[in-house]
Amino acid sequence: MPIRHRVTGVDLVGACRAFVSVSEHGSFTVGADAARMSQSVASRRVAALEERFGEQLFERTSRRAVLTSFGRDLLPTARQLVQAADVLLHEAESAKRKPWRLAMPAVCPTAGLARLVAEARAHAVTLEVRVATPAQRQETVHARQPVRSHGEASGAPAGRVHAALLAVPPGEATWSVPLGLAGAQDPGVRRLYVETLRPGRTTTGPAARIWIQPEDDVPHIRDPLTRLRDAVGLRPAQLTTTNDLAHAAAEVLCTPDLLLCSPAQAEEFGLDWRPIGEITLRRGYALATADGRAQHIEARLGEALARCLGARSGTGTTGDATAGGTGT
Amino acid sequence: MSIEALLHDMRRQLNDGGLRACMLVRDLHTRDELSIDPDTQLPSASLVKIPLAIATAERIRRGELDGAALLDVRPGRITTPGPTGLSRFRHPSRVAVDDLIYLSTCVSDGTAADVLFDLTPPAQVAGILQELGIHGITVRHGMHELSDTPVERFDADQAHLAHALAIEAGTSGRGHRVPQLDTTRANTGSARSYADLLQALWTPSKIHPEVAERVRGLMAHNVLRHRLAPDFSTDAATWSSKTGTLLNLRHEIGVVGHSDGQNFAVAVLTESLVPAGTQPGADALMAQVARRLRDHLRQL
Repeated sequence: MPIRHRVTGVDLVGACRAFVSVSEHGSFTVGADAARMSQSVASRRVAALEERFGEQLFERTSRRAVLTSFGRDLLPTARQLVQAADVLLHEAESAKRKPWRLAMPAVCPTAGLARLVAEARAHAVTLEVRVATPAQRQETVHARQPVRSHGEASGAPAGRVHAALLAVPPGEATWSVPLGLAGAQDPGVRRLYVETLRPGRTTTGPAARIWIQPEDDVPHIRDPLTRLRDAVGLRPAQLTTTNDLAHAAAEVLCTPDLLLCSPAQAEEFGLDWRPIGEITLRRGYALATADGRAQHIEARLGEALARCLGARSGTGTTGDATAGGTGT
Repeated sequence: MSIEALLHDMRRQLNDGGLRACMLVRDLHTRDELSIDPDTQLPSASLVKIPLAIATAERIRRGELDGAALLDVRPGRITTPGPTGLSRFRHPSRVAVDDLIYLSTCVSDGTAADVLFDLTPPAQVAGILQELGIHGITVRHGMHELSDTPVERFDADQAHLAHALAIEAGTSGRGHRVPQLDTTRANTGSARSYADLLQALWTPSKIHPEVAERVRGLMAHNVLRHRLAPDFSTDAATWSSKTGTLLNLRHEIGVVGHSDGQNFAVAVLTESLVPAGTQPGADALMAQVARRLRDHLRQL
């Protein structure tokens, strides 16, 4: 508890605390008691202080503790030091308790977020989690704009966040999650080639679509997939970006459509996940903080964040492989 | 299904397929027609080879040109995908004017067409069209200009960048930063003007019957049959047509002739919004929609 700020062997704050308390109560016994230390500790601390200063603080003639004129001169400053130390300790405690707002991807399941908050508390970090789209996370942590929290009335500001998990290309990512295609039917194959969705000349009826959820509506995922769509001759409408994941998942559940998602999400929706044949796509995540303390937080919460994302730490690692093989 | 519902559904289909399409289907006997954006002007690409064939055949008929005259043709030596015939030849050759018309019209040979344009320059072709009462089709330049587009400057694996430019670099009033796609500088026409041209070839018009018959015969022997032909030609129907392809433009105009004597002109001019060179889906979609339009018109 005491801050060990040793200068030439003297605990200056502890010694000043003993000095101030004894002088206020006019007695070593009562003063020591009031400062919640034993009389011998109080005596030793005052003696150490006197030795440090090379001058007596108390007259040693009477039974009462009476300040010398040197002691009277130093008392106001010693009192200030003790008060400042108390303020410092209090601030440290309340700063530790202040909630730390973190913008997380909306794809993390609620249970995972709850575990993250619980694990953070074990590391003495009070987390407050907001879920947001990639663009919102980017805005809120950099421009310090209010982020809109999931479930809040539209337009209600939820305050700025201290940090956000940004969607970044896998090469720059601290954590990465593999993406693949998930459908309602077991395709009976190990991987899915996007080209197989191109309607044949004699095919009638609607062509199967690939749904891109808001979390993946970022250039390093959307654009390579769009280029692939054009290169293998799919119709433009066969790649659809939605801002309503539930709607997209419902379409996938009752049509031959496919959802671009992580293996963990596929499991959540009860879909069969396969890696994409032509290209390897990953969600990459990196922690960005408004005050630049990302490494500090990463050191404490890295493991918990990886678990929440369904990823493993480190660039280029494969994540939670719940549904078998990964892309090459 | 009402015509409005049918057209609405077709527009949605084309939109889903990334095509901006202008199409017109006309019964050449009753002149009834169904259409989607038929009056929008688009660069003609190789469709201009039909006016060129008409003008050249007309001049042969008038005795201004000799169809049997042999001309020295320098080889095109083009190696990028697309061009055909003399355009890909590696050595000089001598070809008769009549055969150049065949190569230009049936094989869509740009080098053959340019030799014919040397005999009958674009302005003169345009003048002959005016004399024959065919309006709405501009002829401003030869085929050589079409073989120097941005796609020739990119490697094959980056051709999609040229297509992205073709899609994005349009200016207001149907202008374009790529000159071949600028309707104020290129050879142009609309679905309606090309349907009018087909009408003039297949039904009595100011075009001399001998010339009309010759051009119809050439179109019947068009070798490029991947676009609309699969949906129109059967043993009971002939498909006579000319295609036009340039960057993101895919066109085909033709006449489907049924054994019962019914003839339908089909003019389909499209711009793709998909930045990719090879799009079999776009060709198939054009044909599917044109066919639905024709089927509906025939059964009205």
